[in-house]
Amino acid sequence: MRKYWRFFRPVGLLLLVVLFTAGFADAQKGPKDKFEYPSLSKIEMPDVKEETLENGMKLFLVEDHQYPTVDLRAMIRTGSIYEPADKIGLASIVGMVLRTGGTETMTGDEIDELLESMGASVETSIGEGSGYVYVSVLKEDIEKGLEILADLLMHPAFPEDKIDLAKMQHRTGISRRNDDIGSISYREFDKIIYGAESPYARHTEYATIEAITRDDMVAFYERYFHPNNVIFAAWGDFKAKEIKAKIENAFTGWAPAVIEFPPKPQVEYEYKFSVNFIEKPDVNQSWILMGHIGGLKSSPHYPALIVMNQILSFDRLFKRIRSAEGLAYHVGGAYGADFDHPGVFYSICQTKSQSTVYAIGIMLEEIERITEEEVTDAELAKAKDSYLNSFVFNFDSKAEIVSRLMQYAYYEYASDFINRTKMGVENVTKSDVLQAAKENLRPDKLQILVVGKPEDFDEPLSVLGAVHEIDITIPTPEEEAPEATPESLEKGRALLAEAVEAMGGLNAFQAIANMKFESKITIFIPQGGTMEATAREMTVYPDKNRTEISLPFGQMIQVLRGDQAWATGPQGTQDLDESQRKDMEKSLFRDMVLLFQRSGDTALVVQSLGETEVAGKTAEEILIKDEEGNSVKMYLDKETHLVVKRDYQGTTMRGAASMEESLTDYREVDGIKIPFRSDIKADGEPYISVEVQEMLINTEIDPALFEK
Amino acid sequence: MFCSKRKYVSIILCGFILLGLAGLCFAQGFKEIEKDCHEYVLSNGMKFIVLEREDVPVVSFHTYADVGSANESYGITGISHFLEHMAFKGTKVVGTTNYEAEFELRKELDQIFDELVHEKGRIQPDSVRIAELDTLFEKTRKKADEYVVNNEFFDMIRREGGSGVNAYTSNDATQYIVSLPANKLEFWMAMESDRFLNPTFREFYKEKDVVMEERRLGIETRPTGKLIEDFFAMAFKAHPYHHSVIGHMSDLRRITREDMRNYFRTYYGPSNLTAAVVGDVDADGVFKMAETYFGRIPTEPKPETVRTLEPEQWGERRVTVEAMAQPLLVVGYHRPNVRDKDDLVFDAMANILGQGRSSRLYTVLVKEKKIAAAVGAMSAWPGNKYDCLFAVYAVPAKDHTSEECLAVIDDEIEKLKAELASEDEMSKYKRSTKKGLIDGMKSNSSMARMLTNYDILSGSWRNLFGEIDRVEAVSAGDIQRIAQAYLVKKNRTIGEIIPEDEG
Repeated sequence: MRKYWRFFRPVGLLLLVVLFTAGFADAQKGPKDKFEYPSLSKIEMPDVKEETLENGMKLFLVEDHQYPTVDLRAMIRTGSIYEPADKIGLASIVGMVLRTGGTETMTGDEIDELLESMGASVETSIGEGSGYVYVSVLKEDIEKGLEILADLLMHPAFPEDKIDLAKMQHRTGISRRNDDIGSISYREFDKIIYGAESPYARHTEYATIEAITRDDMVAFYERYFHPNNVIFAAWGDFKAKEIKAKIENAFTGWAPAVIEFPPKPQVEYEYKFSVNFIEKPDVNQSWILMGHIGGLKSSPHYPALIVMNQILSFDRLFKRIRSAEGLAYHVGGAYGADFDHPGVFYSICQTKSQSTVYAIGIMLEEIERITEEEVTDAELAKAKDSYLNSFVFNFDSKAEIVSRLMQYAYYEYASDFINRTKMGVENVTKSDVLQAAKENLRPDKLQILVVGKPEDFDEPLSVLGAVHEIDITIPTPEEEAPEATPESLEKGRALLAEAVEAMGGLNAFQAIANMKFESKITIFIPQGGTMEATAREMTVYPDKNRTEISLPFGQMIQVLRGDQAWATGPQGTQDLDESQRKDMEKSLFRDMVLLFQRSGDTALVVQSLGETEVAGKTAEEILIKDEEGNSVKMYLDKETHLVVKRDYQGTTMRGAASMEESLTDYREVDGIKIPFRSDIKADGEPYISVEVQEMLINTEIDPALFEK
Repeated sequence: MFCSKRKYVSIILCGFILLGLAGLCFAQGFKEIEKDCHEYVLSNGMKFIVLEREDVPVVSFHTYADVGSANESYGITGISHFLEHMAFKGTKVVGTTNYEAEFELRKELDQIFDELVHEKGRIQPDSVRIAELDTLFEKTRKKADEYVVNNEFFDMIRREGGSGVNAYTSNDATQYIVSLPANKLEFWMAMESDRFLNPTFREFYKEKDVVMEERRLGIETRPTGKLIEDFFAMAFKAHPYHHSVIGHMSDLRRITREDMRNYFRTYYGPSNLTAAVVGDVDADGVFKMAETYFGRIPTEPKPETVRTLEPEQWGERRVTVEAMAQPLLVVGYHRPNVRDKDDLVFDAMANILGQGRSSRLYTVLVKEKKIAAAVGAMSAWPGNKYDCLFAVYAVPAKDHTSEECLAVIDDEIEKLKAELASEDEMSKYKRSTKKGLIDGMKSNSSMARMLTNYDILSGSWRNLFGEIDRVEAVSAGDIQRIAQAYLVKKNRTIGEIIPEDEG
């Protein structure tokens, strides 16, 4: 109506009217005067069509004829949480190469050309807890876009070339991950909260990227990519019925399948206070993060925690640290609540090195204060108003509305979850906020991480408590061995045979049924200093091992029996998880007795890598590998043929590491030459030294020691 | 499924034919939007652009101050951005419990600061006097702070449902943005007009500390931040694109409240401000209310434009930053500003060279040779209001170097000069630009940004709706011509991060 009116009015007249009326206009109001707000027009909720196709694919469709485009998102139930610990990066690389690798009939590069010539995009990726698809096209290209998407999802090619490219990009990312102080801080903080091995915090290493094969990728893809595992959201210039038919048509022949999901990783959190530190000598500002585990969106406290966080992070911390004290540009935090696993509660700021500990003090104070006393009426009203008054912005685009519905469906939340949250926020009281803070925040058990340059700190971090320093050195990739040749393989075998002979002969080794050691070990602590312990190790060949280590605070026992493994400590007995069991199995592979017993086995690849120097003497280097991907490098003294050093990939308390072990002090026991001393380095740093005290071969070992 | 090689070719051809049709479609759609767009200049010279869009009861506001770090001279670098921070510190009524008392104390505070600067600047500074002044300064500051209502401006907007409350300063401009429920139009008018009518530059010295933290965060602790700062300092020896938006630490320390008052007076007059309002509003109502509220701001002369121009470059320049980081390469060539007839040709060249997976640099450096993990091209950097740079960057792959990447980039640049871009490439550029324009128009806030930016930089917001026709007119010959004219070694600056232990 009003547009019609303007249409007939000459613009000049309009200006005149405006200028004329300006004099008579209502007097201006000051910002703090009372405003009469006209009632807000009703939010018109778009008509969302929900459909499930015969193949199980779920669709959410919204027509939006304003612009000549069509957008489409999809979520696929998969994620890096399901990838094995020794192949971290698998899910991400599948997500990348799914798109870049193209299909059986069209290369990824051809798809790049085609899409870009349409000004369109089709992208795929796999994140932590789901896979994503993204399509954006001009409306006339929707059929083409869908055709490409369907082809990618149904017939991906996964060519080696693009796998190499994705791996290169991952390796480059790893090599750069310590360049930026911010990325260090977030990454390491997640590991502090969830644990370095947790699928919610762990990250790629050169070794995990290297371990990924095309077969792994195909298997991962085949496990999860089925239509009944996909939820679509589409909006744009289409008719719902037509787009449904088009999607149906594009995915013809994609059959549903039963998918067995591995169990979702559990988050087991133990509340504790800790001060963690990472040295970054080239900065003049510290990153400070502190917090502990958070919760779920489905928690009854969720609305109160939204209000609590608004007051803590954006009101109190912001005002004190930034506005009043000028200590930081960026300060904030969140009570992290995820859909299906606990998020992270944290506060964060970056401040000049000289105010590091001072700023930490303020943050600690504010977190504590919100759990001790009620917030003020004004704070509560402000936090609720800002949530409720800006609620309309949750509905200001159709993309947002329909994507949210898809997400709720994916995580099996009620489709009106956002409205329930709003009602919850409306009803939050001061005592609810206090109650929620008391129950969900533990100011006495915060884990603090500081990344910065300690010489410039106002006070040493140790005033806060015992400081745990984290080493972020990137484990170096295993060097690629040169291509094996018939000659190098033949020579490798010969060298190994010489070593077996020099150390006692094949017959003597094959006669070994068991072995028992007693030794003194020295453990090097990363922060400096050492710890002494005694160890007893028993091996019954081929597949049983028991290691007992007596430490000042108690005894640790680790047992491997075939495909079972467990550990007993002061807290009781616990089964080792699969990756730890594999680690033990791997350590058996490099057991010299077993290896020498197998030295004639053709399944072993033994390659000569030429001469090198070990401790000032010439040594022959050989690489031994088996079919399962186990490998060890051995250095054989040129004169004595004894094994003087071996290199392998191992695991330390801090994760995967490159181990170097020097073997010295050879003595003869029952005709076998045994190194009585071994010094192990992990990633170049001293890790453990072992001095053998006593050594028995083919002795009596109680079989009960290998029972739980 | 479908695709034999032949079919693939026909799809491309088909896409090409459709392109003409699609162009018509867009043009039609844009005309429709343009009809709902209106402008009005207040009696004091401030311009308002309004786009009526009724579908959701929200509105986005975008205030564009035509001033950025390029307007700064030595001694006050960083003042544009610092001023943006101060614009959130309230006015005579917002952010204070007693403006008069606060004002008196602030005068004292500024005097102490001046004396401190003077004392520290002497050949033999009197350390006792400095300590006295420091103590007095802190004491006075604390007293003044007692009248401050911490963060009230921001809180008031948030409380009314403000979403995306923010501001950003670039080399060219300072822009203030917020979205509100549509019934809060008058509230915004009152707040935003008060902001530019009665600024008080409250908590001046504390906010300096905040800005200095921002500098540490963005530049001093980030190898890429350091490189970019030094790269522009090298590429622009005369023009003020030379210094970073955040400014030098020493200038930040010394800038006075008087400097800021003068700067504000010069650059925040109504004739230097443009506002766009996009959403569920009535244009006439907005104009009328704008006259009531913003019309109060006294007229100021339009400020003088930047005097210094970047002179011709005499030879290739190189700058390196040694850092505990992996290598990074940036190469920039001087080019004319946004009003040049070839502006869109530079966009096309950036698109063909380094935007998207099928672009030339991505294809060769990343996909084929695998010596870079990422590459890109930027049409205009760091701004485009003044003569600027056309730039490309490469992130070398692990165990590869910037030199290897540069050699390939050079080859590709020579190809641009020697051969015409293919028809596929041209259509790719045109189609993706149009798609980008449409996507940009979807949200109120990005539409508001585009309207003010086109208005200031191109002379009229209407040019936004005519962009498609100008994109259509770009030819492969144009690209070859500008490549030959501008992409020459003598005209370029190379910036590199050199890993410290290897440097």
